[in-house]
Amino acid sequence: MKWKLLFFLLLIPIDLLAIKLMVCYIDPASLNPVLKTVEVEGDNLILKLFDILASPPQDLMSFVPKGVLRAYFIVDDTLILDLDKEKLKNMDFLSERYFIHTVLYTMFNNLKTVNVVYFTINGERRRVLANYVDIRYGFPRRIWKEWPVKRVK
Amino acid sequence: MRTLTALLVVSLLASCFALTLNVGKNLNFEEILEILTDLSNVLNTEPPSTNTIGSFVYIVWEDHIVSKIKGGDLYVLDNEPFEGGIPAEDLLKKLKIPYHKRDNEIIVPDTIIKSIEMIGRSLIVEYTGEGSFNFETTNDGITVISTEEVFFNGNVYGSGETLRVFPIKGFKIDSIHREKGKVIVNFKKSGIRTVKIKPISERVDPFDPNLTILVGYGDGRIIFRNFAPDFKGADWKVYSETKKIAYELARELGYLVEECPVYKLPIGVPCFIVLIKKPDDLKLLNEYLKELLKE
Repeated sequence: MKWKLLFFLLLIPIDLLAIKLMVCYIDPASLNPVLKTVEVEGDNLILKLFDILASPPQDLMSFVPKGVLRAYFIVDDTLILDLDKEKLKNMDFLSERYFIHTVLYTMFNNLKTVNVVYFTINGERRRVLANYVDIRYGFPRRIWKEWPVKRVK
Repeated sequence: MRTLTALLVVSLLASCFALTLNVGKNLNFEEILEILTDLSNVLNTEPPSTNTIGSFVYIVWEDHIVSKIKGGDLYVLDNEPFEGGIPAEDLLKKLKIPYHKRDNEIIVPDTIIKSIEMIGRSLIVEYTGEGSFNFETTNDGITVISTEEVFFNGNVYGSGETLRVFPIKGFKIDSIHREKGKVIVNFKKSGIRTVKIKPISERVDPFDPNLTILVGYGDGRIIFRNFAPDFKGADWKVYSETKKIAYELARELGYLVEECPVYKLPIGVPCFIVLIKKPDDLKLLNEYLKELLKE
């Protein structure tokens, strides 16, 4: 019986085991968000999401540098993302803001139990991400579950 | 209770938690346990636990151990022996608990203030214990005063003493938000608000009564600070005021709006950044703001 079950499980296509996630890239002309669905397998989903965020398709761009995530922690409904200072140092005003927006928009849309995100740099609480964006306080789902740049009608 | 320690006074006054101990009196096992339990409340730490192994009884609290033999008179505090109980002052010193002496009494504060900071236009006090402090607007500015014994910045302050003064005049307390371990005070300026437009390279003075707008060139967008969960709603009022003006302005100019905690935009202060598309928009911006303030 056990062998039959194992044989049956082996027949399940591997793509049924993959998780579909939403990733946010940026259209270089309009700076509008472009959502792509990707399939991710196995564990360490957040790390994989960062890798995917840092590798945009050819016609799109990303403000997420490769290897920027050092570690992450989830405590209750809070996600703490620890970033590599070296990877952030060349960011300008636009890059810093759009880095925050794309990361948060992607995280809140994939991790439904996370309500607040905090950023740390090289394992420490810091004042700013690189130079401009204040990371002393938490970033709430209520704002970044949607794209935070809007055209007012 | 034994005669030797009968003079110990652990007074829980009706309005406070401050511990008052008699100088030079030795504390017995039960009294030490009671004091450590009270201190756990002040320091917001785990309460002490007790255990018995044979005739050996001990208390574990933080990294410290107090032990004695049942029926015996020898106490050991972190390997240091004390005959006939542990003197109150020795206990506090060894545990590194702040206190001060008045006449023949040792007074242990009921509140330990970790920080008093002005962040943007919000005064934030972080503490452990009872929160025995209050706020006043005086001629000197905004004053934080102790209402009972308080430990702050290496000193113990008695009731009614000034802990910190912020020389900010002309503002009054708008709201006080209290939660365990943190108090957030917001201030407001009475009178008519005007608008100050500054280049983006300049900073916003959190106590400038004007609505401050930082202007730079860009792709036509208005950036304002989001609210943060850390403030438990204390920043919502300014957030919604700012958002309303930003949205109206963006509608008028055909600009984008963006929520982002840019460090230059102080918390609790109505202000935002406008990245104008072309120089003519600055004139439009001025005109629109004049109209807005007339309303």
